[in-house]
Amino acid sequence: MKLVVENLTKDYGDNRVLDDVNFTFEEGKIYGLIGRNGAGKTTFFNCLNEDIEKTSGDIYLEKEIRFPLKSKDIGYVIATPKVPEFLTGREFLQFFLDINEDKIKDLKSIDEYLKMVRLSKEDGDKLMKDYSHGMKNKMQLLINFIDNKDVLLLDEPLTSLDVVVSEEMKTLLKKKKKEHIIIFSTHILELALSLCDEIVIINNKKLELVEKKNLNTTKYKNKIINALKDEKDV
Amino acid sequence: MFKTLKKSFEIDIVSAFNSFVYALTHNKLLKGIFTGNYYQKKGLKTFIRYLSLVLSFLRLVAFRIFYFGIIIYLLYLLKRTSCFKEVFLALTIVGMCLNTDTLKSGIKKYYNVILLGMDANKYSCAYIIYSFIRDILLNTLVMLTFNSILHLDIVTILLISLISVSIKVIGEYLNILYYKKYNKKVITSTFLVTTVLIIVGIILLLIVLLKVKIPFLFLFIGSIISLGLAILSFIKISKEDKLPFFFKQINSQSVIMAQESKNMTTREMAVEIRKKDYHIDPRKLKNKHGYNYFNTIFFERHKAILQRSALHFTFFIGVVIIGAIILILFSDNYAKEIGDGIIKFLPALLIIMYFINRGSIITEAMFINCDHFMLSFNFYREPKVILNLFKERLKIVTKVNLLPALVLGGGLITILILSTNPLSIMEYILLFIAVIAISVFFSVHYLVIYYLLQPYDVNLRMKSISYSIVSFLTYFVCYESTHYHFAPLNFSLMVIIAAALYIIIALILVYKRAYLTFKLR
Repeated sequence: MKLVVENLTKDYGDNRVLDDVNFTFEEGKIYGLIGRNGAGKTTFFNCLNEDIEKTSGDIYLEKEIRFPLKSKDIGYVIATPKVPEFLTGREFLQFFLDINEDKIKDLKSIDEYLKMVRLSKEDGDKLMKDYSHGMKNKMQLLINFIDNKDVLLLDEPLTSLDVVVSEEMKTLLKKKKKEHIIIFSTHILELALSLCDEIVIINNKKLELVEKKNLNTTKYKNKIINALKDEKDV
Repeated sequence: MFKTLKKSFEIDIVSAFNSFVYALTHNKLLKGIFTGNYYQKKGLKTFIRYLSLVLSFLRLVAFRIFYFGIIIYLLYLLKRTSCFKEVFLALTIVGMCLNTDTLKSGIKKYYNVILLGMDANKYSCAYIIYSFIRDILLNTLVMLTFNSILHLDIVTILLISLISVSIKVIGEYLNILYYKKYNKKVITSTFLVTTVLIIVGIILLLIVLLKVKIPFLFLFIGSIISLGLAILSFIKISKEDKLPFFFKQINSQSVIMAQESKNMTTREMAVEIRKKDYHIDPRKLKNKHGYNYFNTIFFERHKAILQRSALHFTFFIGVVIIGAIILILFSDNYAKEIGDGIIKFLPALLIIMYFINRGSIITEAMFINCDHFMLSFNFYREPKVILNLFKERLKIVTKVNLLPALVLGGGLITILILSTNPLSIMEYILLFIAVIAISVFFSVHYLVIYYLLQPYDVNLRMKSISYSIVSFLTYFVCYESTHYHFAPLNFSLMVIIAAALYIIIALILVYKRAYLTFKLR
């Protein structure tokens, strides 16, 4: 399975954010998407997820055949977690499992799902209105993990989690990657290096793979930083 | 101290300038005309600086003219314009207790004191002096403007102005003292607010009834005493150690952000889930599945604004109807008057049902407490899901709104039967159906425009002009219809046919379009 981006361009008025982007993401890999502030990472995700209309270009999902990527093929974990606050965590999971019971493989009990993200039974019975930012984030991640879509977009998902859960999420993501395409956007280079198989930078309105080849971590890190610098910084 | 004031004003002007340029360059109607970077244009900056000064001065004068104008107009109606200075000074006591500036939270204080680190005491004192001078000048100016009605001499005007601004400074200090002792503002104490309002109310009543007059000597002595106390208060405020800490408490980022989105917060509060609705009787969720389960929980947790509110309306309608029935049974004259009145004002049913219907508030709750979050999940945006939820929601909303409609319809028919306005059985039946049709119409209407024009953006701001226009037109049509008279049969038939047509068209539109329109802006 491949996610193919062809000639993707996105303008906001006179401002071109993505310019003729061409890239192919492959199954079984976690891609770390790194870019400077305002480089267009969220715009790129929003284009993939059909949240905004692209100016031009095509995005395909390629299995046996190639078909246009739709938001129903994507799980999208946004930086500011949003969960229905009038429900308890348990009720939300119950609802989600009800409506997806025919699609979910290896169905578990609600308590088992809560345990996966280290939420206690008591937490599960609280209204999500009273959840902390981190707890909401866990619920959002959990729903997307259960949803099991072909493409998983993660926009800064681990930064608000405590170190223990963050490590567990990294392990879960590594397990998930086998049958998925995972694109992980972050500002934390160390996190990207420890989790991702490939680093893609978004620079000068284009996506660019930074190849590791035989470089050690420090040299690779420097290569990424240098690639992100523009003429003004040099 | 004055350097602090100057800096603070400079920030105000820069902020006004930047807001102006932002509005100019981001306005959709002016798109393409103002595209450059204007933030560094010196000429424009100077222009905005003066414009902002003139506008803020005009705003202050306009407000004061309005305030004084209302007092003078009311006194004029009561033929007591001669009591103006006494009434004005009595009202100043309300301002002293309930309308002080130092402990009022605001974005300006957050920027200047919390973010830019200005000294809280210096900042407060600078503003007190500025307000003192500004208010003496403005009060005097406006009183002189109205002096053809007030007939006060210039010394009296100056003394009144002096006393009123001095009392305000004393109030600033008293409020700080209260906050220091109870860690809350005077304005938040219901007891104090009520007491002050009752006392001042009694004083105002006595002034107006007894034509109380303050002799000039009292005014003179009062001004000296109040000025002395104001100076003392000012010194105390300038040395108050705890003031920086109070500023931090009152102007913290979260408080300011909440205040900045006051409208949104008010809306959120209106649809807030009540604590007693947290728990749901498990029997109500038994055998519920998927969307039915999801919706049942939603409506159970929003009982306060839907079911309970509909019950309150039903109860109120019931009481009015029973009252009318008692009057009819008590006197034939009342029977005729009430019967004639209902027949004459049948179209008023539209505006009554408009206010009774819970459709508007419930769609707001749907967005703020549910869809706003859920629409970020892709599975929730699938056409099938959107339509399923719409159907479930429509069923519940219609059912809840039907209760007051049934009581109203039944009550109207009973009253008409008992009154001396005999209609045919067919007319009674059609009138009853018309009431039900109006109720269903409103239930469908609010839900349909919510799904077709989804009016909010991700930050819960109303973004759709079309939605505002449709909402206004709904109200306008209901209100305007009260001016027309129809025979009961014609009215009922018109309403039933119009409602049926609207409902059919609206539902077709939702089925065809909702999956495209129901999304986050």
